[in-house]
Amino acid sequence: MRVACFTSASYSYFDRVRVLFETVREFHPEWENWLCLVDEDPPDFALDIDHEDVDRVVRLGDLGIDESLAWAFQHDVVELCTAVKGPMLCHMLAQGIDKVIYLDPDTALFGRLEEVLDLLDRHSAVLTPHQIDPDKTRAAILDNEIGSLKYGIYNLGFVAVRNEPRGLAFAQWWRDRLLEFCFDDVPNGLFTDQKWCNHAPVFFPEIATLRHRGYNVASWNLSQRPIRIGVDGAITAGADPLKFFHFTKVTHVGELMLERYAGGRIEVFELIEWYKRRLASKALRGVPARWWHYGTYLNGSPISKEDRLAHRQRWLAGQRIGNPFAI
Amino acid sequence: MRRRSTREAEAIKPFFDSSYYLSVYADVAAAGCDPLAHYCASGWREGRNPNSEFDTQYYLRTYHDVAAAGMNPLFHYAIAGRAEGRRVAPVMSVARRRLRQAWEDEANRPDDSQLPPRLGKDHILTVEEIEAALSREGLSGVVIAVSHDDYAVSVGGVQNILGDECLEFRARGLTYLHLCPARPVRGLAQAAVPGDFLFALRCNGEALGRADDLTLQQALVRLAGLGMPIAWTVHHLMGHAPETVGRLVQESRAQERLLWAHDFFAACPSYTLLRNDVAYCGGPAPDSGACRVCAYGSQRRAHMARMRTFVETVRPTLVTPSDAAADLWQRATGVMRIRAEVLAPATIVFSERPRMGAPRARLRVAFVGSLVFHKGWQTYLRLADGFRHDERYEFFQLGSSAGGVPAFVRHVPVQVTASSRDAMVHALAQNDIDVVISWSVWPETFCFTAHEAMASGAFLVARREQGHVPVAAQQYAPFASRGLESEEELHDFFHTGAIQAEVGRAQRRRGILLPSMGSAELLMLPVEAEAEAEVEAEGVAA
Repeated sequence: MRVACFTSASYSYFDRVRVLFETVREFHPEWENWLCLVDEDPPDFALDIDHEDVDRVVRLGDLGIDESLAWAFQHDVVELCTAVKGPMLCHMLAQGIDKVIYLDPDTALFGRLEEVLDLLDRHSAVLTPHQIDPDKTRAAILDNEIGSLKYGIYNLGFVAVRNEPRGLAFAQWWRDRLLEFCFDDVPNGLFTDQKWCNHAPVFFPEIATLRHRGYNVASWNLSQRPIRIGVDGAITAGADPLKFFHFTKVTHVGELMLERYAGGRIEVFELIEWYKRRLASKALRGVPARWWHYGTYLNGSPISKEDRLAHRQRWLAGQRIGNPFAI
Repeated sequence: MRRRSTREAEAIKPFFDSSYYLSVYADVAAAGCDPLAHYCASGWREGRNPNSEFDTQYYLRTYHDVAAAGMNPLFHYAIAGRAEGRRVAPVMSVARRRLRQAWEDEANRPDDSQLPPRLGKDHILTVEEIEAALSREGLSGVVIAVSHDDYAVSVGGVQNILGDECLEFRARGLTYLHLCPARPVRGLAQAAVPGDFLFALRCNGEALGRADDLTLQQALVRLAGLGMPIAWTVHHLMGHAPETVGRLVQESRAQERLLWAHDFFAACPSYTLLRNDVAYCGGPAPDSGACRVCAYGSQRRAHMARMRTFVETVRPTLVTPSDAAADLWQRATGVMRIRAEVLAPATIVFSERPRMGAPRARLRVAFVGSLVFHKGWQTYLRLADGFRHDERYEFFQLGSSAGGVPAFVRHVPVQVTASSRDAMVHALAQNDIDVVISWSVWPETFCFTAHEAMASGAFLVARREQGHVPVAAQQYAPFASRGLESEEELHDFFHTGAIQAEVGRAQRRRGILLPSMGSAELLMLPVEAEAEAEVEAEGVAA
């Protein structure tokens, strides 16, 4: 049985990738760690994976996407890093991985994900909803429940798929949609890879919804899952042991949202502080600040949103440009 | 311009706490300028806070409209922000600041061998000098005490115990040699190469100088060779290399060895067992989730291993100030097979006569001691703030004001020193304090301030999960104390006025706090009792 975990990121999130894989290795040393690196190396820098908790690095060109550069050009960094998740999932299944677990780079494990492995023995895939329990206050309903109506019921910071026909069918469907429609365009019903999965349990009824409160804990469900640390040393979310936390926006703004739902408890801020310190210790040296290979033309000038939209229109009209980055 | 600044000053005046500002910003106090004018002119731009609650930087960072307008944030709060319900500080700001600081301190731990020596007399001792100081004629033995700082200079409960036991040993003709690290650091010192660790020595209360471990070892070996009985009492190993102390104990051929547990340093560098300096952790397994997210977690396993090796090498008798401390110490360190003694550092003897007089119309409520987080200062501040306009209560703080006492708490300066050990008990009685809030967030092994409160005749309100304090309250003031579970319960107790009724019914008595003899009680009393028994037996035989 080959189980592999993957994440997708550009170099600017490499500190997060390192923290994630460090925690995955600690709790699941038996898993393979795969990175979909949505970036290319800056001059005078080469990634040395022998010194990383990473077993395989897959780049854009390895994913079997037709005209991958022209396709990539349509997307900003968030869109592209999420759009590759479908192709990467199919790529790993095609490589013979039996169970594939995707985790966002800004997550970290706090325990073994046994519940997921068990569910995958009986289901084709597993998803985690943003919320499991209804909120009670108007402010929380606005922030959380209505937030999920806008951005998607499931949080695609996590998805797990088994290598069997129904799992493959889901992966293939998601891949196809992401290749065409992975944009941050909430007014038109799209939110990158995430909102698509509102359809998933309907189209693929054998997909399991994981209702364990220790999975994918974040500001959007903290109101219903207070973090506690017992005198036995166990960290819990709601009544369940914490399995992984989603450290979305480790910034002043992100902390304001956590403050709102911390319920007067300090523990969630302890997790945040721990995470910030891990990130600082895992910073990637040798890559310029704000580096993203696909964010600029080859001559170094930045690609604007207008440029991407214009390119997309040409792409949809059937015009084919070999490498739009070279223009 | 002038009119605007006058208007600004007038508007913020009700929210500005001058005494807080002056106590926190010593430079402003030293310059002798008006604190409010200082805040308006430059203080807010320097990120200074106008009272204990308003966080200037947070307000500007959170409300971009205020920052963009270049406006004094407290002025904005006074004329608009307050009515709009804007926050004045991050949620749990004090605890979060401590949390960040704990990680900062751990990240910036200095290489202790590179620090300049700070404690001890500036004189390097020779083997002969040490030997001479320890082997004056007529002396019947040497007691070597080890602790983290210079007990004759620093003030505190542990330091008082050392001072007391020094007097007791000297009175019995023994030499009392005190060792502390010349380079004090948080946590354990790095394991030192023999000859590299520098001690500060104090003999019979007099500062001797500094000596490295090999020099000291040679002196002790010579004394042991001359047949001088040597006993060790290790009060604290913070700042020490336990391997070095362990070697000295062995080389001195000591028969008697005590290891005190004034706190839980043997279990964790966070000796109060406060995870990240903010929440009681219970001393769980070092591979637990709690230790993983704690600033002290990464060192804890090695720390415990070094402490355990020390215990196994030295095989001391564990001395704890209370039963509660002994149980937790053994659980948190995992060192179960150790001989243990309980010795309370002080006891209270009460007057037979109950305190007379009707209770005041306004209860005088006090916090005793330093304004530190782990002693519950923040809980007290929230209580005093919540009831600051309540005619039923007046709020006091007795002790040092370092850190800043806000205007709604009346500060009474009190300093407990070796020569005025009952200063706090007297001050509490003189100020007619009715109630003392004891709300340590860690399990106190022995809480002097709670004992001082009870000895003064004050009614003690104590957090229940607080180590030995509830036990002591039950022992000394069962009818003049109340244990509470939570801060909400504490506020309810005041809100409903239940506290007034309980204080009215309470049997309050004055008493005196009698210090123990410290290690002398364990090392000397058994010997003396044996000697007396022998004398009596001889008498009978004669």
